[in-house]
Amino acid sequence: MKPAYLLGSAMWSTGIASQAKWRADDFDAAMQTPTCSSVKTRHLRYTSVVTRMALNVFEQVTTDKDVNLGTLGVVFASSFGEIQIAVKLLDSIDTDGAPSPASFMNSVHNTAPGHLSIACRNHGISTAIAAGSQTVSSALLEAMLLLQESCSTVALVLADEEFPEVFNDSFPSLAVCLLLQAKASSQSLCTLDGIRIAKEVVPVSLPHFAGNPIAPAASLLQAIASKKPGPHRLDLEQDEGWCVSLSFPE
Amino acid sequence: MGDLLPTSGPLAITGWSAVNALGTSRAAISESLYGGASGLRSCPLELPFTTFCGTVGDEMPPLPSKYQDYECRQARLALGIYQGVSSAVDTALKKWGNARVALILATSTGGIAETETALQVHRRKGHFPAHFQMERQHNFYAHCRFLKMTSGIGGPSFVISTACSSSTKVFASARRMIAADVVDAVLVGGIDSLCLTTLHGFHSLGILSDQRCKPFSGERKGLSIGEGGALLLLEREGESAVSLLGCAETSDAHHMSSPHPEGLGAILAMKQALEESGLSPQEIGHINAHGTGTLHNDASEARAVAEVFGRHVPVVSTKGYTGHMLGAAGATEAVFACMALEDQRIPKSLGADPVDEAIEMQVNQKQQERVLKTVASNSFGFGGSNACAVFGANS
Repeated sequence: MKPAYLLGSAMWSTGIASQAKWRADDFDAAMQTPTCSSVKTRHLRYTSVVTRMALNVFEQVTTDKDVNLGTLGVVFASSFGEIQIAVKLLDSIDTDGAPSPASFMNSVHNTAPGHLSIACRNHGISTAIAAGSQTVSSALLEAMLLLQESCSTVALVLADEEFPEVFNDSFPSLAVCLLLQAKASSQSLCTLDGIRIAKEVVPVSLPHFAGNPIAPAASLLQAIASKKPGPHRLDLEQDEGWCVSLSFPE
Repeated sequence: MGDLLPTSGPLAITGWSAVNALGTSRAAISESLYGGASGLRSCPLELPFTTFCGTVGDEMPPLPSKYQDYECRQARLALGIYQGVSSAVDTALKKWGNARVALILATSTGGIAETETALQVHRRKGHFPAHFQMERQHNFYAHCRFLKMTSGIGGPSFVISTACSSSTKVFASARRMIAADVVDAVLVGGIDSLCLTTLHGFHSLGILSDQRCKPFSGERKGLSIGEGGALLLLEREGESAVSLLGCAETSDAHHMSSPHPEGLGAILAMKQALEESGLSPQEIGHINAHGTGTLHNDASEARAVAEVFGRHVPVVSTKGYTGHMLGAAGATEAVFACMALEDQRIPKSLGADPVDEAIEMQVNQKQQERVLKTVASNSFGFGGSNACAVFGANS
């Protein structure tokens, strides 16, 4: 399989507005919902944190890049997707038997890529996947396959929001976007290659994001930021052991 | 789409299995499909409105005790369907090696039916049922992980969830994976189970019929929901009666729940699927339409089909038999496409009579036996997600 070239990356998490803020330990505990400007306010009204995070990181990474938003491929990935809306829908069914139609149409797993395609007037390939603890590796694989098949640029958007309170399982919301290209350019930040199983590679755990299924995406960002070459684990110790190799321009 | 590169050639479909409202075996499904018998019955769930559903009548097998954590309706359906294709998968695992076989499933409901029950218990008792686990029942990937462990498949595995286009998009992902030489075979499919969320949700949108759905009919009043699913084994090479020739995915970029009125994204998907298959529109012998039975979806799809194929290709919606199986619809209709090619028979579009006069394509109102070389199958979903797959008979 051919390598992919990273043109840019972005992240958002509860209290953390960007990668720069994360690296600077500049947290704002009051910040619970990300901002997004590409989707009209009336369309945003019934969307969840997971969709807004996805839109936010996509906007962050594409704002100053010379890419055609109308043709790029979009791979959205999330383990639990629209879990907050799903539980609210069930609450409303149980209480008055009449869920909001706007909430229902924003409850599908591909809500975020759907809004993105509308905002970008993109008629190309857009997909949404889930793979439990293998979500990050599976999504990266699908993005790299799309680059090899038909797309010159792919936005890989990973996001999982915190669980509804009823589940009593706490982790911060987190979203990461990687803007990947099929061909290297002078602006390429990193090469991702050789996605494979290598259980011997030790995963890097980030305690701050522990429990969030896409936490390995944050550790990938960290490895890229620190320009650490070599294989990087995309899952946790108990998982299958999927890795990608990173290399950096001189 | 960017600069289009060639993908793989035809992929052999070396096994398939389906479970739906028509039955749990090929013989039972075939008897109802060609007998023109609907599987839609009065919905068994307690609802404050009337609707018909395509529920799976036969008991699904319980999970082996070592997989009890995954026990739920969704996983039972997965196991029930898998049993029909397991011998073909075993053969592929021996032929290619476990790591060279992938698993790509689709769902729109996942195991949410289990969560519905668990939340009801939580409201009454203040705690979840002892067996309930979000990760192993609710999660979209749970039934995929269970099937991976059950089958011994060792390659990549994931779930695609793009609402009602999900299990046609699995064919595109499988083609990419085989073309890139990541694997040699992929078990693809889609599985959805009946749940309150989708029934109430579609009712809230005003598009759930209170009768059996009547796709393309002038009397259509909306969709009927179905459950079940299908699995198909795709291999780089192998003996088979039918092959996957091509598959394309596009976006409407128009609205979250309504199709583009002129069928723009659908037209692009059908044209690109033909291009990838190396076929002209005139070479398609039959279309299995998305055909949900809602006013706007059927009108939009009919415009798109007429634009690409003209008015001479027999078009069938099989949702009058099974109901709309949502994330499992594409794979189920791929199996119907395979059956049509294997049996050289096009079923009638059940419920279409009288066909809407505004529908300007050839809705197939009478079963036909004829030489059939190719079938196209459409799936469209929320978020403006479109997919079209083309299947061909092997001579």
